[in-house]
Amino acid sequence: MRSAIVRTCASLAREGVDLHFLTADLGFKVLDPFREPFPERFTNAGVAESNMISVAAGLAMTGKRPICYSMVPFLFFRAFEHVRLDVVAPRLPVVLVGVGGGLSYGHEGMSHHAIEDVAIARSLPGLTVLCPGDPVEAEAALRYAMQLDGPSFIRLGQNNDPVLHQEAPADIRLPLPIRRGRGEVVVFALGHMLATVTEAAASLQEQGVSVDVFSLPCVKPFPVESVRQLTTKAKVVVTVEEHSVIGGLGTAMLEALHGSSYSGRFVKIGLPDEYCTTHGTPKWLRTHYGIGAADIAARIKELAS
Amino acid sequence: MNASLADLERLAITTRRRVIELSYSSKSGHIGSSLSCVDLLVALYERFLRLDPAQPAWPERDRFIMSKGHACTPYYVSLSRRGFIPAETLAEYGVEGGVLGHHPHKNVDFGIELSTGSLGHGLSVGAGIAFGAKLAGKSFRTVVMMSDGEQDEGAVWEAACFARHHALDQLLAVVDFNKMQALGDCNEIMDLEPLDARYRAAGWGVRRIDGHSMPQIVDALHAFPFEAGRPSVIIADTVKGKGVSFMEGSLLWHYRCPDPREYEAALAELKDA
Ligand SMILES: Cc1ncc(C[n+]2csc(CCOP(=O)(O)OP(=O)(O)O)c2C)c(N)n1
Ligand SMILES: [Mg+2]
Repeated sequence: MRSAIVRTCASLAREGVDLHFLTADLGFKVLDPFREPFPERFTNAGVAESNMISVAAGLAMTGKRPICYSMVPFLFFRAFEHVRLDVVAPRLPVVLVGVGGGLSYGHEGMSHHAIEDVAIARSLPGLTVLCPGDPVEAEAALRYAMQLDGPSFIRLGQNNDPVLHQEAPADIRLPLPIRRGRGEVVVFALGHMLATVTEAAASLQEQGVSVDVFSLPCVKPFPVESVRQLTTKAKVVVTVEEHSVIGGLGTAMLEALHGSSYSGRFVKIGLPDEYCTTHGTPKWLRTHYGIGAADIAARIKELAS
Repeated sequence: MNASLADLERLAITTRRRVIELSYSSKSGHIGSSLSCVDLLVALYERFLRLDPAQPAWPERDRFIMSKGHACTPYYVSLSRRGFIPAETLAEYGVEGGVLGHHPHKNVDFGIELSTGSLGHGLSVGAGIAFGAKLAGKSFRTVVMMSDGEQDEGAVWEAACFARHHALDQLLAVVDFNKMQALGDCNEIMDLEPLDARYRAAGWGVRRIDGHSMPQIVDALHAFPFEAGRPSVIIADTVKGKGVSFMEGSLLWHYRCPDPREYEAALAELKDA
């Protein structure tokens, strides 16, 4: 997804968008497809995330369209008050692109993981929060964010996520269908967990369990009405996220279903309320936490029967 | 604590070999970052830090913080040599589910005082520890190893001002000034020079040395604290990837993990240990 974002930045610059790309000394090689053709639109602000965010606010105040890039913890947690006060509160059109959502930086440990970011981001008034599920969604998310007249946060996973959509989504704000079943077991995936959920759904299909899979890239503003419509026939609704079970997609879903006519079962699959003290590849860590494809399939099968 | 200069120099080679081996076996990067601070770490652990592996939580021990946590391998190797991290544990560096990951995780039994990985926290925590020691009338020392890219972080300078204001003369900062950060040369990204003058202006006692010269390192450590009533900093001019010709001064080796040929070639250059 990172490469899709960087490619899209270059396209937007060619299309005449007055963007300026800031990185906090991250993105070795990945950023070259933008940096090389547009050196004058590229600034490495150094290992100084808080300053970068507030500089972006200042740039936006002069009419530029800044994009700030770093790993989620450094971009968002470290610089948090700068995000809140200088970018979000004045509703400046700054796009924050965070790489390494969830456990994507597996071996690097908890300093590099981000399991609370969606919860925090959702609570910031006026911040659009996008968690694309594949490179196609990533491009659409950035294009959408860049025409907003306000701040946005785009949460990415690793760089090698598979392409799951045949064509660009019509509206990134809505749940995007990946696999349609009978509408009885409906699974919503957050961000880069889409690939894992798709894998789980394929194995369920082989076991005779039909599920509907949607990517839900826009966690704020949350598509309450569409979610309610998509779940009218459902008996089981499941959310899957590489994020704490507190405050992320599952919580947003619960808030959306609350007060609707939905009376089936609801399960959120996510990370426990604890910091990771071990390490491994993202895939290994997902299995460790019981959110790997096999675990998800088993949970859903049990719920559906 | 009475290793000779020749012993230290030999140990530095052994440590570099171990760094290469650990990166190779775990397929992890940050070799360049690790090789640049080996001599400093070896001297600190063998000639400076007062520690007791038999009682790792000894209240009077010196505290060391590896603020540039991405260079964890020479840190783990030094801790293992001093008897903190068992050899079997070190051998499992980077193994899934193991205890030693690519950034240090706090574990006082292993001599790891602070989880690091996010740059620009160590000096503040170190200042807090030194402040606590001072308030309690204790004489132990606190040492913080930072990178040069880390000097970009505003928090480092907040800590520098705090430490000077509170006259934390038992605080020693070491900057591994290898002139490179994640995307290129420091002076092209955020020029830090004159770094020694900046620390001096902030009221610190400063020594600028060749961070690969064991005599100069030991000499500087011997002179600590550099000035009465002030925190001290060693600005160590170093070379990223020091010790392996094809890794020296190369940004690629911030990221790359050696393939079998590179692995053999690197070890071949690190002989006479
Ligand atoms: C707060 C923070 N921002 C970004 C990073 C990502 N990062 C890891 S190493 C590094 C820079 C490496 O250069 P330097 O700090 O000079 O250390 P060296 O490897 O040269 O010792 C960066 C930006 C980080 N670890 N922490
Ligand atoms: Mg450096």
